Amino acid sequence: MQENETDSIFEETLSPEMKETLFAVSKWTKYISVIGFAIGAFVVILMLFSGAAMFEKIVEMANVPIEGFYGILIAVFFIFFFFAAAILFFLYKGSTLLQQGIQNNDDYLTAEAFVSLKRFFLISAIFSALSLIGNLSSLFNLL
Amino acid sequence: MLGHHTKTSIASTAKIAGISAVLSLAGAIVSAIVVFFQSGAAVSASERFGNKQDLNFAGSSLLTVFISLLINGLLFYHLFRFSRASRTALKHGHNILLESSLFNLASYFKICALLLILSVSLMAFAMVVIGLGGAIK
Repeated sequence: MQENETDSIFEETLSPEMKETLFAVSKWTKYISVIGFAIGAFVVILMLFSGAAMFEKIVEMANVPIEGFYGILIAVFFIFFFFAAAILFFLYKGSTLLQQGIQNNDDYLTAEAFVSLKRFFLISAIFSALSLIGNLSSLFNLL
Repeated sequence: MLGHHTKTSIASTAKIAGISAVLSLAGAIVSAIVVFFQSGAAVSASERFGNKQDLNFAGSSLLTVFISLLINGLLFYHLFRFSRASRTALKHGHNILLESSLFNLASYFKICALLLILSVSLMAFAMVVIGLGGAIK
């Protein structure tokens, strides 16, 4: 009985306020992903023209006595770049699906939009965890 | 319209978002502690050797950390509220609470977008200034 009462709330048509809120989520996620893609395109163009020179300068400045540091640096850059691209892809997909889901009153598309947002938060959580580990190791080195 | 599938996916998104919010805030706090230690070392070095550059470095680092903590705190507030409130709303079938939690999610993305726009504008401005500086020389 209680289950039926709970479900009945969600089977109603979405209120205009709820629609507006979901549209706002869709709008801002789209802005973030579009700006992110633009930054990514700029980075790719920059790397095509002066990537090698930039990496060589970083290797000189870092002055790390590790053989193959240049290769490690490039690998780290590509890993970071593809992770960032994945984050933006899930954000863009979530935004588009959410917009379509609200417009067409489609439950499946709205659910898929939130699945994409979940993947976005999952990658963000992995990034945050890695950053936390890095900061903790810096803290233990200082103590 | 919000059927069973959407309900389930909002709940799982909220769970992961909550974890992400906690990890992000923890990272910001640990990072702030690291900078406090480093700036403490820089201040003591400047007192010992009379180097003003170390003191300036410590001051700017502390300001950066303060701003970073403020932004992270704000982002954490909105994301964590989305996580908690949406799960409670879905559990008890509370539509208004769910709406308010989604509003928090929208606010979280709005702050992220505005920060991104601000940082891109600042970078573009810095590049223009550097370019003009180079042209004048």
